[in-house]
Amino acid sequence: MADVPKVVIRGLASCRVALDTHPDANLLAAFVERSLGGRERLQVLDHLAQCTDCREVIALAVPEPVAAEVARQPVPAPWFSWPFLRWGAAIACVIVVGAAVTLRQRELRQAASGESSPSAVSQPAVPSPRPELMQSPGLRTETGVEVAPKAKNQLPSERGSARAANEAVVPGRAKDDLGAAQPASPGPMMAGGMAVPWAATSSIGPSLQTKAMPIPRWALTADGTLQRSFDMGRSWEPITVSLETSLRALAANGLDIWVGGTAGALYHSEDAGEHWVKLQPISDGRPLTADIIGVEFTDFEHGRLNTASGEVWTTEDAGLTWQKR
Amino acid sequence: MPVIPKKGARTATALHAELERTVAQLYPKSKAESFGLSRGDFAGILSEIAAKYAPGAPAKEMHSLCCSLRIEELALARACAAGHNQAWEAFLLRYREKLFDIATYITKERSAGRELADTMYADLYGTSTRDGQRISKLASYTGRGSLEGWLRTVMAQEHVNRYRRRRRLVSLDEESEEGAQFAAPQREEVIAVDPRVEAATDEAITALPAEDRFVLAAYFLDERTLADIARSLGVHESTISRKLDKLAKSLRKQILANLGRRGMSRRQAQEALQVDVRDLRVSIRERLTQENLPSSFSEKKAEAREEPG
Repeated sequence: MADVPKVVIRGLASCRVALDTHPDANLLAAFVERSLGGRERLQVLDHLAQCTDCREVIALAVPEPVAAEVARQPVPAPWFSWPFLRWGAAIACVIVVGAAVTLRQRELRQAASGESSPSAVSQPAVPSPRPELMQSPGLRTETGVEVAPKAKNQLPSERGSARAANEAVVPGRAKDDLGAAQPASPGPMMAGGMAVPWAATSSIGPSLQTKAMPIPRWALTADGTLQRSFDMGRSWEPITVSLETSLRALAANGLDIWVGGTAGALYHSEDAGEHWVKLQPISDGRPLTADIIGVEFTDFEHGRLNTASGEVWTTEDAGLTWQKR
Repeated sequence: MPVIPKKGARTATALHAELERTVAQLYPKSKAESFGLSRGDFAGILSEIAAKYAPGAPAKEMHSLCCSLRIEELALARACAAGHNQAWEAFLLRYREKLFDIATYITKERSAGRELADTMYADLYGTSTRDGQRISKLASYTGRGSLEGWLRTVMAQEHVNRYRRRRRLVSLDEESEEGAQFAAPQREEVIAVDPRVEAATDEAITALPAEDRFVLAAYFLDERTLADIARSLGVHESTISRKLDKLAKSLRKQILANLGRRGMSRRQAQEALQVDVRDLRVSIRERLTQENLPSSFSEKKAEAREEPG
């Protein structure tokens, strides 16, 4: 550490004055606990800079560090500590490998016997996408359907819990909001080309769905309705995000889609519109209420909203926090 | 003709109304009633604290000051000072062991800590009287900080005062054993320092913000550790380390600039500072101690051995 000239130390010592008044114990205690306002804190600091006695009192009055106490006590190993994790991971690997071997053997037996089991194909517990889809993730297949890249590190359910403060999960799937019966769309092609019913698909879990789901195309109609197509625009299905909002802008990145509309309505889906989450951007305690007319997301985390009133709102953490520019 | 009250009277009325509103809001939260304090007593306490820390302030400021206080601890302390038994029971339950722990931490010794804690307990209870009224130290607690923090500070003050008083008492027997009567008279070290250097240094130090001066004084005068200083200010140790580095460099630069304004060339200014740095005859400790006590014989021997030549 750089040293100061001795003349400075003499100068500091000469700044000491015989002070007649000292801050009382209440102010010193409040100073230590950082509960003094700006002006009072400066006054106390100014006094402390000149008064050795008060500095000594402060040094004694600061509570001893808590870490020292904690270090003295033996900390019990948590259940997820390394030994548990190591053995747990080993056991999990054995189970997974065993299950995979068992399933493979069953398939081989079935193939050898020539039997086809409808239940195994039409309602698989784990749908196996077509081989060409799995071999070249992110590339176009013969049918021209893009396969979504591997799911992101954090599961959608985990992200959902982190955003609880400013969002509400739209219950159910988008289709449920329609009320009237809508014919089920063919859905993503899986499991040897046979269409898997939506009910079976939804029981699989978001991460596995994400792995196998093709990337849709999106469009907004003139009346603010969102539409989705899985066949390069040959056919479109309406997706109802909210019955009250007219949507004006969207941004899609793989299976991730953001839509914005009137009165600051902002929705996000991570699974190509199967489930939606409503977000309320807030900056400096003020919510976004203007109509959203532009949405841009360069990647999963960095996004920008433009409003009809000329505001620009940006996020760098996938909508957890927003800044109004 | 209706009498229009003067501005002062209107202000007093507004303050009184605001105080009533504040008491209505804070009295239930403070549990003062359970400690034996009436609403009127509580209002009197708040009024006294507002007059002490915000004299003449507008009603709104008084209200926010009162809302920032540790209301429950304030009610407990003042009820104890007033001698309410239920308050004392609550106080002892919460703070009896803590008093001893704090005292032991301050004195670094169990027996001295016990003694300090006992003395403090007596002062808090109020063993002394004035005009027939018991005087309790708890009557001076105002709730600006926590009661525990206040107890720490009061005990630290008491410890520092005791230490200072003890140092003033000199044992004549000990002095004669150490050969104090043979001690050579202390000569003031004459250091040839250009008065412009001291003036430039004083100007640079005075221009520093209060926090910077506090950090410098705590580190260079009191020889506190970085960790201690950081805890006093509620920052990380590395923040203090960086601050001291920055201060050392900026002070040097500022002093050189000040010396330049006083007619010194850059080379002269640098030499003037360096001469002082090389001056090993300066005994900083002697200059810094507040009381000039004759050093013991053994210390003088050590100093004589250290002197060059």
